[in-house]
Amino acid sequence: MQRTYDKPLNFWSRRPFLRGLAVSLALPWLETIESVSANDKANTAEPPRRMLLISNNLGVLPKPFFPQDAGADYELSPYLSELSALRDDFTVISGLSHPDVAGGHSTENCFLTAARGPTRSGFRNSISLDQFAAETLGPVTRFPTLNLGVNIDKANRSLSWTRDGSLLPAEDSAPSLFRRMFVQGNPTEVARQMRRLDERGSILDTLMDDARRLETRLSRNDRARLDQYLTSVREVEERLDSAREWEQQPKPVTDRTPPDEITDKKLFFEKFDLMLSMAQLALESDSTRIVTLMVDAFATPVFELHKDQQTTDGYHNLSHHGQSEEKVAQLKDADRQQMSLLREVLQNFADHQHGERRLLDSTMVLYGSNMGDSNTHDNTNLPILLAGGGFRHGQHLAFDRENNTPLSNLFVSMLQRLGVEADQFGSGSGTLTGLDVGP
Amino acid sequence: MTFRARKPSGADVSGDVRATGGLMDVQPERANYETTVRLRTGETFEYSLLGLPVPLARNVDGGPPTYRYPPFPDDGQPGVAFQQLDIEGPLSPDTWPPPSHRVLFGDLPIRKSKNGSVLRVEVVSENPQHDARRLIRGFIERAARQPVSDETRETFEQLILYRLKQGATFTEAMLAGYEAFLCSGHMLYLHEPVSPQADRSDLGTKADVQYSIASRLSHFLTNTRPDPQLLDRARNKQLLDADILRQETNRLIEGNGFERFVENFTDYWLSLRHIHRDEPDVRLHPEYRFDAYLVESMERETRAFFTAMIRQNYPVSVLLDADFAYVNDRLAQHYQLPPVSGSAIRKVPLPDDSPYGGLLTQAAILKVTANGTTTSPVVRGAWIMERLIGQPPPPPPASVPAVEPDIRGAKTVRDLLALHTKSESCAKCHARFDPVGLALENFDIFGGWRTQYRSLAEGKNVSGIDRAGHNFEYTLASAVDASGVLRDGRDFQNIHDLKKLLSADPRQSGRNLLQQFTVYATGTPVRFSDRREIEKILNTVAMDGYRTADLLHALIQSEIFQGPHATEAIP
Repeated sequence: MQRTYDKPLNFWSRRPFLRGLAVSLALPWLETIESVSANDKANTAEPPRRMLLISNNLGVLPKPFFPQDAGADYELSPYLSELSALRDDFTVISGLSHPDVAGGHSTENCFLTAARGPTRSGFRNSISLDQFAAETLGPVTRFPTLNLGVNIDKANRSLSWTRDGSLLPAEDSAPSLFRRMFVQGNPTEVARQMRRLDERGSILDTLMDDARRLETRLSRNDRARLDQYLTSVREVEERLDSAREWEQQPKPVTDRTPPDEITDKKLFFEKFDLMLSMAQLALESDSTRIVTLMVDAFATPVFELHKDQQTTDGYHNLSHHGQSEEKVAQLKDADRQQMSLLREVLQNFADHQHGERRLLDSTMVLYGSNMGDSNTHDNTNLPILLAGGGFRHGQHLAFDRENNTPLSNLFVSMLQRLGVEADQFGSGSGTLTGLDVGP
Repeated sequence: MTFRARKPSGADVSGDVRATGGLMDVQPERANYETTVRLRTGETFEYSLLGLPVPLARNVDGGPPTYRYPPFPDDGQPGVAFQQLDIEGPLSPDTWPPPSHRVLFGDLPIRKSKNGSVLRVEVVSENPQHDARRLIRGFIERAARQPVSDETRETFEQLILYRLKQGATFTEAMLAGYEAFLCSGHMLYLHEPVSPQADRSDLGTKADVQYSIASRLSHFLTNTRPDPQLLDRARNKQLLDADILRQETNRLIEGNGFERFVENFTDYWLSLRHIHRDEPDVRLHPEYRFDAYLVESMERETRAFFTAMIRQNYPVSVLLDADFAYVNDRLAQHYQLPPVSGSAIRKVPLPDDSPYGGLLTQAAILKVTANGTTTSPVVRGAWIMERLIGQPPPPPPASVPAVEPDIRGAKTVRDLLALHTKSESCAKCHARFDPVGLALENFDIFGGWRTQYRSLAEGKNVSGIDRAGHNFEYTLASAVDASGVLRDGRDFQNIHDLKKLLSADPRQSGRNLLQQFTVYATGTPVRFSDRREIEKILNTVAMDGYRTADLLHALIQSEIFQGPHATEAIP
């Protein structure tokens, strides 16, 4: 099941990349921590908490993913055996789903929002977990969140949604992400960018004036509509202020050469791997503390399963395997390879020491899907795995498979761990029973 | 033989090419053919052959490439000889600067930008304040859907002047002004027609109603703001005059912008935006391997058909049945019709015994209601009932699991569906839509005619080389049974019978199409209180047999479209 990486020239292979990372980024990371703790008074002793939220919108085969037995002594399932070295660093959770979030693929945009009824007419999405957390944490990093994608259909899919239900498009280009995070503009460029931000400020002022004048002439109904507009203008203004401040701060330093673009959708694992590397780089350089990554399996055509083996079908067709042995075998292979990519990320976080503690202990990594079983378009019993973040792990938390517990309860637990004082989110009205903070 | 230019979609993406430029229909006579392909630096292009087998190229043991074809038909394959290929470029634009630039900057001279600007070129103004006022006024007049007050215009003028004072170049300052107007409520909000009584603001004056109707009409039929003539009609308060409104409607229907309506409306109503969603399972359907031309042709067929429904004013019964079809070479073959030549879609009569004709059995409809591997009478039936008949099924009860797809050939779809009838709560709803889906079981995932299901397990073995040179092997399993009983007890043996039964109620088809038009045009579904008006509209078009354009006109003349003020006396 091991993948071989034999194309080091046109993309970042994880291994050399991370070797470089350990050397070049350790120092800047500590520096940023110092500079951050100055304006982040709540967290002077503890390292800042971070989270990485990953969803594959076709999920995994449920049978080889979920363990048979529950509790701390559970036996690792075939898929989880890929993570055996990290057994005490993650919790696998069964029996979770979003209440009233059904309708097959339409649920993919609700994975982090829990917004009910995605197939209903007039459906409107709600704020996603990452945006909710970022709102509370405020602009403590250059990017409040980073929203990444693999093979993603950017116009229609995202894990990240604003409070008024607008899609925040994912970044799927590693080089452009790298530029945004590390490449410092020269003084002329910075001045130009500041002028551009200043211009945006003037435009927003004008829009406010104009909208206020309009407001006095409107009926009550229309006024409510205009109010939404004014609110969003104000939000843009706030973001602008923060962007102005960050524009004048130096970016973290790295001696890595920028990654090459991979556009070929067939190179699914290479793209996934590269985006995971970018996510780690973003978190470790403290460019942001919250990263989402949507793996758009739905939009993935026939792909390279191994160097000399392509899948027989596009990912979506594979997922409707109809118990065909040939298709199931390919899915298993693909699922296991993704578990192995996940292991590498977790291992890297575990190896990265920050003072007494490992980076993994302050970084939550969620891996899951909006699909419980793609073959039948089932949106219950979602595959969910949470690693790191300082929870007491090493268990299979099994909830009722007939009568699922809201996945948002897990989100509430995660929010609290992140330092957000929330006792509800989405359809979750409390923390997840059985998931406790470790020593 | 049809060729089309295509180019690689990215530098490091081998084998992934995208269609670009135009089609070339090569006819038997010797001729010159020309296509225009837009290339960026470093891009290449090639021509691909559409609708005919393409060989599989292989290098056996590192040797020279050999090509593998499916067996040729007895009378051979067509071929073409090219004498020469001339490439000309770069092509100069028709006018310089382009019209879009003139809208923003008129005839002001252009020069290269100085350092420090994000723009590579800029315009030069001798009298920035005067030019700024002149240009923003022209821009707002062109962009707004109705007259904008002096006060409002000055707000945007002030922004430009302020940016100039802050040291922005003239070009940057103008663009900031344009950007602001395009982000403003004047652009983002559509004014709905409302009666003056219902709204105490000055938006409901008679003049504004005129502009609201103009705007609703143009956004409905051309997906954009009203053109100058329509704005002129509104300014002269002519749009509540039924004859003039009808003339304007016809003008938009005949115009080029109408294609945008057809595209967007069919994208949503008929799910055509999902036409490329499911790739065919080439193990079961090797004949569809790499046949993007067929998929694209079926999409064009349905759009051409719908355009003709309105422009030729066909009766709505053609939704369900018709004795003609719109086809090109590939579709004629797909529908087993006498061959036609060329990629252009044209109208042809259908033989009496053809199962095709009408939207119901168009390949595009049958494709978007299948999943690439199998067809489901449940999914198809429910879709047809909702979109074409206008009787959407009630939502399924929450506790019902989906029928797990099983392509191993163990059970027929009919067996699976029979399980529904065992439970009364299932049967009640499934009786509404399963039968229609069953009648369509003679059509495969791409709408091709079949009498037997295909499988990979049991049945008579079929094998060969497919149209792209790959081996295939599948089995012919059980025979298709397309008979059934409608909820009202009427029974049918096949699609021919079903079409007769369904098209017996043209009023329902008309009602459905009206509902689809209404939600698209007004953004609101037909409400309970609209029902009387809908039936009134249907009465007015009943005499002539519920014709499509008649329905469209009647809707536009109605209160549903114009708002309640329409009943008031016109001054």
